Amino acid sequence: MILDYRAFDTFGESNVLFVATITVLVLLHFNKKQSKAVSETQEISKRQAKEAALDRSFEPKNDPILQCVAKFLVPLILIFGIYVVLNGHLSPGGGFSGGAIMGAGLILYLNAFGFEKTERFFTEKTYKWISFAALTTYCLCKTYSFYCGANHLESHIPLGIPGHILSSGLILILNICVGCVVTCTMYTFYVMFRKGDF
Amino acid sequence: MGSNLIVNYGEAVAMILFVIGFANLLLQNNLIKKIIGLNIMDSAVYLFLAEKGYIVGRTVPIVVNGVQSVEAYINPIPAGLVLTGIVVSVSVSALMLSLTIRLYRRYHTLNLDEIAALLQKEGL
Repeated sequence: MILDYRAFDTFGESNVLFVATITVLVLLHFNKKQSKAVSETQEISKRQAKEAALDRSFEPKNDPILQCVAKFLVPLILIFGIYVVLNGHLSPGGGFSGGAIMGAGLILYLNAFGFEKTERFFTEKTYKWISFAALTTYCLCKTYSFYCGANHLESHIPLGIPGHILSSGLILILNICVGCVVTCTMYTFYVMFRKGDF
Repeated sequence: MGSNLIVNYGEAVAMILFVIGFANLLLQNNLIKKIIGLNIMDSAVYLFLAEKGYIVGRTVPIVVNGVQSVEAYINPIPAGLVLTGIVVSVSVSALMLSLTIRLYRRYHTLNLDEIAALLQKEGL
């Protein structure tokens, strides 16, 4: 439903998420650079450092229980998220729910193993490219008919048998795009609020 | 009136939640508590939409074992609207929280009155 005749609505939602992430990135990044450039009084910076150290002391550092649980749970959560995304047109679920599940899995991995492990495969650049590619694909899939002069409600992709995984034309592709955007957004929000930087 | 209230208890709960959230948003001095109040208001609206969208005796609009009559399914549009609202509220919360973080780093307080006093001292 949300990806068929309300697809432009969903496109707008994805863009809202994207814009919100960019704004958060701008706000928290900019602050860091500014506070470095402007030399504050020593007392305040000392207090800030103390508070930051206090914050850090509550974070799990190489916690064996968390790591052991995460080792089992993270692949299961990620696979379940992918299942929800891919079955979005057949069952309850879809891009948003699946993306949120995958984002939660990534956050659990990050909490268990620290930033060094996740920075090997997910940095600001990754976020930028995945979001850009997903949004562009979504946009092209839904607006190509504007440029070809055809009625976009008709689909050229064979519809297949209802109930099979390749049975709904564009909706599978759109679900995957939305799932990518939501996963990246969840993870980026968490990283930005936790560390203020990638 | 009383009997209607009991039948539509979901809507009644949604209204109470909305008022609680609105009071929080207006009366609290702490910025984080204001944001929590706004989120409670959001949840009340979703509860109201979901409650209104469900019709007793009909099933979810997913085609299993062939298409049945139109009467068998509920309309999926309220659920879609709730989804839209959730996504937007996540974005708005993140935006407000990051702005609050910046305010805290600037003034070292979350109390709106103190921030206003500091602003007056700066001549703004």
